[in-house]
Amino acid sequence: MDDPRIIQVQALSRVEGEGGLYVRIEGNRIEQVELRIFEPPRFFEAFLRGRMLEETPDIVARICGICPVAYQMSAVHALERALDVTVTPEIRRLRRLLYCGEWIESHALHMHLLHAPDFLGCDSGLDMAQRWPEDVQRGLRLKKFGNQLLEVLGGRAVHPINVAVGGFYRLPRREEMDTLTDNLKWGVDASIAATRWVAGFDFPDFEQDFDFVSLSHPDEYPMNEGVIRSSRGGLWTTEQFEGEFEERHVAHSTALQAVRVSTGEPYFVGPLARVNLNFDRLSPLAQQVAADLPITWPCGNPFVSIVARGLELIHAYDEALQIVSDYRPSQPRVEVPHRSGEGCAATEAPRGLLYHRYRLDDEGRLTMARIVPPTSQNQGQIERDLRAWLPRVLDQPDADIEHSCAHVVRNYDPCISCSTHFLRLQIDRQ
Amino acid sequence: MNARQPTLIVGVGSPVGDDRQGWRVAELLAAQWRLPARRAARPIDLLDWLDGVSWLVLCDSCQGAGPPGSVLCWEWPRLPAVDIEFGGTHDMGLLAVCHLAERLGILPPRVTLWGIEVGTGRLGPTGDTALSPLAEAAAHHAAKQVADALQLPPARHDLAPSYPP
Repeated sequence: MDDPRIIQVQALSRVEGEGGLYVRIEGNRIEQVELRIFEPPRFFEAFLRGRMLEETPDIVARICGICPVAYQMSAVHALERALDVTVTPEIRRLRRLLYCGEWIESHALHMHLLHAPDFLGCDSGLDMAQRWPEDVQRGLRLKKFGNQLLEVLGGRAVHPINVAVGGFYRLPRREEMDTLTDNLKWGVDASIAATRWVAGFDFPDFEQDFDFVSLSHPDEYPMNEGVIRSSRGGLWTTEQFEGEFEERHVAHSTALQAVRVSTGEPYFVGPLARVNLNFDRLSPLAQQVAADLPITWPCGNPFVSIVARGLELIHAYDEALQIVSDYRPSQPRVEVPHRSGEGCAATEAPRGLLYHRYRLDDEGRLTMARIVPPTSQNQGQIERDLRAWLPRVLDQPDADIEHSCAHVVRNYDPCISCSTHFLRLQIDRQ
Repeated sequence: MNARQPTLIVGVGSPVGDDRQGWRVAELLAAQWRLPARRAARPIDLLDWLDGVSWLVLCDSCQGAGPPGSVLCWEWPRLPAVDIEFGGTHDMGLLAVCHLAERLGILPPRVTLWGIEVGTGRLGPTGDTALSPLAEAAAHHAAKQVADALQLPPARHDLAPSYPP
């Protein structure tokens, strides 16, 4: 019998964090596909125990340098639910603005420097910069203005420090917000150009019947709140999340993998899921751009995720400009009591649904924290995509298969560093 | 230095803790030697400042270059050893930005990189912009070396220094 063919990507590039890929092929049969996350868990849920509730947004922001706002938003919403706190409409709008900044910087980076090289036959963003300098510079500028928004409203361009349970520590002055206006106007036009550019890439024909899952809100494109919806018809409140979505440990990965409890199957979160489930709540401008693209929505091709990111980039610039234009400083935050309680919330990180649940004691100290990041939810689906993709490329040289598998992984913009869990350790002493 | 050539000095760092060293060097060069110096919180900011610059001088904290306070210098394209880090947040690092600028065709013809060893670094609380005494001394030492390398006249001693004599 012939030796099995082994395809290994030792360390995936152009993803956040450290992971690899292992594929074992027997004849023409795919025997094993493992997305191996070897980055050590960072135990954030355990760090949070015993901390005061006010410390939570700044601690969870450190889980990720690309999507700190998402962690802050899910945390403050969960804690406010635990304490029955309702923020003002102005604070709610500013939280959406902060989220727009994060979507902008994350999506612009992924589209231009991490994902576009796959479609253009480049090994890296650096390689691409030499051949497509104008597109790369546009991407860098689009990203920069997202970080600038975070700096003005969040106090820092990376790991913002202005998010409080109940609102913000300080609100920007009107003139500080005004410094953003011209850049946001430029960003609206540039994000349209970027989206049209990526929509012109050559997408492999890879339509799949995915179970897309995202938040859904009746009046707005989902960022901070909504019910959880599945493209297969399910609808859940955030409180029902843990009853339907379960993380499981797999031997080959330090990160957990999520499945739907009712089906035992993986599911797909992120921009493609959001656009598919909420297309009519994208800004009118983003919908208008989408209507002119050669793509039909909903779309089941994961390679088209880059276009979904583009549409969300347009939406985020468009909405940010609107909020900044209307901005009038008001009360920065509402009062937050210290008492016992338990609450959960889900928001939409750039990479997909991010769930937090916390329990507090009488003094406002955390006694329990649960965090389910989007990348762990997508990992099972990524492995499934690879299983479906590999038969199409098996006749290619190993190096080409490695490249194309890494491309399949990067469709999800995985953020491997978000390993927040502590694995339960059981010692059996004889 | 050829005075007709536009030179830009950029200190890279953050507002608090000893990672502020790069900013401090830029502040000293601007105040005491009247040099065109800017502060960058993120290396990627550089890309917007390079138009018309023929000599870019970068000053940043680094780790792995020797005892804390050591000042080292490299001329692009010669690069620091791989175990010397100009790390930062998840954003693009200083060397990656230089490589990117080179590929984009906007890297100035001459680039000098000054690294100041920060050791394990002291993390200051928010709002505390003071450097530790060692980092402050290292920033002064680095500023003097940068100025000497630029072949400028000695520091303007008529300007009150912002540190104890």
